[in-house]
Amino acid sequence: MTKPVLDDLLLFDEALAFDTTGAFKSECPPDKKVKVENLFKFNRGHGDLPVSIVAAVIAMFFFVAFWTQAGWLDRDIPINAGTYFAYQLGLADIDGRVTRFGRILKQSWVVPMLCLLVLVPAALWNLRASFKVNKWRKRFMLPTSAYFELTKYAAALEFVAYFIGYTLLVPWLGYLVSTMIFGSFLTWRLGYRTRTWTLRGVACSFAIVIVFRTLLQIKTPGSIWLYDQLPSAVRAFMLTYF
Amino acid sequence: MDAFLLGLSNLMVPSVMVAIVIGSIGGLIIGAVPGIGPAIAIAILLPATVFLDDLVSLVLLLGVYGSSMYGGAIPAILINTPGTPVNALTTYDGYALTRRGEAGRALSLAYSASFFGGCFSITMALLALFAFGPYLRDLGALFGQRDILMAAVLGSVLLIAAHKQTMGLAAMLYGFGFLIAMIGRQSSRDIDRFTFGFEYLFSGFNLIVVIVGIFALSQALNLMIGKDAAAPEARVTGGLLSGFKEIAGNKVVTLISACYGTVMGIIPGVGEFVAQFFSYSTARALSKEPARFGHGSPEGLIASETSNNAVPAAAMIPLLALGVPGEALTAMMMVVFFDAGIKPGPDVFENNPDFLFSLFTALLIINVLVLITLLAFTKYIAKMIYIPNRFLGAFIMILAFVGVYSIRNSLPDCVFAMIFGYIGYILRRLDWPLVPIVLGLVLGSIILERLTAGSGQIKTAIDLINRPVSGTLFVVILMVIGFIIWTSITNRRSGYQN
Amino acid sequence: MKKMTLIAALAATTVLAGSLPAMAEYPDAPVQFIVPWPPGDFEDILTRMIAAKMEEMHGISATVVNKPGGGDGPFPGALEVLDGPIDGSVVGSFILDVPLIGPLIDIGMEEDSFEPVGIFLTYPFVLASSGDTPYKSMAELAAYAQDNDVILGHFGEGLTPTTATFAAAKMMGFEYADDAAFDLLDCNTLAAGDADVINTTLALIEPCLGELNVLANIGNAPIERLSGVETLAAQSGIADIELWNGLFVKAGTPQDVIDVLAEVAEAAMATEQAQTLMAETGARVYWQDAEMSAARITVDRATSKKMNALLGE
Repeated sequence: MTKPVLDDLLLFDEALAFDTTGAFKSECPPDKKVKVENLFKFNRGHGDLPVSIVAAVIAMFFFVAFWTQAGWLDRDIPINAGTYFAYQLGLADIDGRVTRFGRILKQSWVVPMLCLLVLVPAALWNLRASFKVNKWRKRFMLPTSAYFELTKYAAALEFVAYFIGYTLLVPWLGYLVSTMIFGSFLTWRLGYRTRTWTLRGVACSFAIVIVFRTLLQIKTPGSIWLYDQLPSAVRAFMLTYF
Repeated sequence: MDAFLLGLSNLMVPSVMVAIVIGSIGGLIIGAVPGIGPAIAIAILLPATVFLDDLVSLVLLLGVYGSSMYGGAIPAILINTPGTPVNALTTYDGYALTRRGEAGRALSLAYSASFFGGCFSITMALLALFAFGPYLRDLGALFGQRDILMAAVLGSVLLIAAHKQTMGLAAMLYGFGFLIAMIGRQSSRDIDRFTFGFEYLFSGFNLIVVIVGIFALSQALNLMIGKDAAAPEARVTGGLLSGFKEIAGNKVVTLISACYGTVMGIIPGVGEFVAQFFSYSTARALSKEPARFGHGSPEGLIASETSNNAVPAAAMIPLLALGVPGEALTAMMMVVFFDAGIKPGPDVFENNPDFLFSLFTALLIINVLVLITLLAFTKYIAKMIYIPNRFLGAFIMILAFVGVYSIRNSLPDCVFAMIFGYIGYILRRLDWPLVPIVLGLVLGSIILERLTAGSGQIKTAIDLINRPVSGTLFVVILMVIGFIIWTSITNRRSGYQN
Repeated sequence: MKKMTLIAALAATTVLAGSLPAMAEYPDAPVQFIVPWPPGDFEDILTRMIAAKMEEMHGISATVVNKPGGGDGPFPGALEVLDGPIDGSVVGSFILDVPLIGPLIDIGMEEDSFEPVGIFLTYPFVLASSGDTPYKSMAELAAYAQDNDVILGHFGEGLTPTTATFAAAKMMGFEYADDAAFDLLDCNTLAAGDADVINTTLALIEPCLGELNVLANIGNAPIERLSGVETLAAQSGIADIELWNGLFVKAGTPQDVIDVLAEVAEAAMATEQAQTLMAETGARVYWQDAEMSAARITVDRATSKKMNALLGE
């Protein structure tokens, strides 16, 4: 048996013990038809990288803000901090009076520090994982463009604006009128423009006002410009029931 | 025993009975409509319940919580769309059965499995109450501030560990939730965290505002931006009673799944998903026909439905006993407890034993009521699946407004809820988990509270863990952290690509 | 044409009618009582009684609006009243910390920002410890604390009963080894050993009252139910101070509004419901009119100043 020219060309190396006598046995594990893991499998979406970056930036922002915003400037730690913490861990000894650990723990910066100890490394770790996935995809020329996702995020901003507009409208026009306007407008904006659907939109808005405001008397803003324009008895009625 | 009878009589009031019925049927419908789930419904109903009587509001929310998973199985089976997120596993076997023309059999299996799971965990809880209840009072003295602190930390660690593939992400989102919990002022004098001088932030963010934003408003945005689902016509054929016989024929699977659900529900920070996953995997491992799983195996269906329905009742236990919620929905219900003047914690058995019995008995009644309704009215409920998504999204927005405003009578709260909704929308699109943010908020504020309150007795660091309960929990925390580190190292070794 | 004239006439009448409320009698529009705490506690219950009485006596809708300030206490809610109108449609139900401490912290409140309508509630604050502690009164506590660690549990450092407790300790020459702010102080706090002495309201330790030592009560007079327990002021030498809750309106509100509110509130406090609350919980329910309240606030301001000076703030 001549030695093969290349040592690492194992394919032709007789030394490997393949079982060539019996039935073929594959080295790969049998494929399971249904992988429950797939249900819970996490695939990073296309928008993942930009959002992970933003998340990491926000985490760093709070990290920077911590030093001024969480009471760190007013901290009250014993002067010999190193010895003190060693003492707490049982590694050193201090003579005389030792500050109670509780007095340090209840200072306002302790819990934010613990939180940041979890948040910042996790944010950076997540960013790293996101980068790795992105790099891997780019390497295999898989699509990585986040453009479509970003358009969807921008599209949602429109509805956010509508909602905030509704919020600002209520103290002016009162809950009933604002909700009717908002409900009908949204129904129209979402494309339900046939008569049946418009009526359904109006009816649902009205039903919500009646059930939650009139019947359950859930609180809504108390000083409404529109109601202030009405005569006093009507005003009282509208404020109570609508 | 008298506490049990008292609890029972508390339920026999007409308003409570009406609330049970509305909650159950409402919950069924909410679960059946893909796009809205119990989280959204509870988030929106929560503020309204402040105005209702305590037990009434509680059974209303319980009804929604307990019955939504029944309803969620309907579209999962009929049109391969889970009605609530936890019914996702049901689509595998349920829809496959529908494709074979056995929709009725699948539905009946799902109902009976859910019913068994629910009743099992409720019975376990009631038995535990009967057996251990009188001793809980003495146990109460074991649970001080530091012990509950450790329980909350354990819940946090388990929450992160439960997200096996995305621990860094879960930890980051948990951290953000924790951060939100800390924003605000305390005692108006010394403690001022991250308020940047903004007056609105002095009172911090309210839990319900964040929940309504992250769950309800984000889904509203999601629905409105998406398309209306073109759902195929689904017909229910076959009888609905065959399921019970099949359950009897698959006793082992059912029992094991119910146990998984109950145990996972009790452990804080875990929840329905992990319970289902384990029970499905175990059922397949034990099954004589594992290849059928995912292709219409009745055992698979039983496994997923039993375990997810066993969780709600069990999740109430850590909430009631320790004040540490087991998962996001239970966290929302904690608010109702506080408003009712019932402080969850070891005292609750001493102070309000009848309340506990009312709670679990109500859950039992809800399960029975839902089963009967489903057996009779499945056809009509199935019609609810077809409400168009975008229309739904618009009205969730309207409902969310009134809900958020009524919490603190604050318009800025509504604006912030929408901001959280936008953030939640982005998270949903990325398939990032939403639960860590909410549990970060809840567990974080518990940790903050308990550390502050417990700090008085902490002379040296060892005082944190030299009590029996906190010491044990600390050891468990170390074990879980060790497990996390060990699995991530072994995963790395095997080249696991995230 | 006719239609237009009709509409014009209607519009004119509406505008004219809309400008009439200034002449109408108070109350003619819904009244909101702002309680700057979450629902359920004493002041909330009593304010709801006042609102119900107002509805009963004057027929307009009166609601209680809870505006909890979270960790910031009653101040955000108090600011809401400050931002409101002066026509009596927004009334505040505040504890003494609002007029006392509000002006001292930088949030835009001055000593004369609010006018008192009256004071109606005193919280039954007590200092209690477990039954098995060797001290049963403040003097014994003072002696014990010289050589042993005593941990105090309270509802927050800025709160008046807490300041009073610390001032009393200073007067009596002892120091608490440490203290902690709790959200809830009840029987379990002592049973679980989270604190040795707690500064809490009577209702919260009701279930185990028989097993506890009540060292003192923080108020102007001893609580009848607790025989043999003296006030903190009597035992320690600090001036009398107690935590009370009263109705306030924004400064500049017309006198007749204040009078109507006072009338309603007094009637509400005299009802059987309110008096039963007092008997059951140890809270003191009464009515002190605007003049007495203003005088009381002045006295309390001086006391508070002295206590803060004593504590070196």
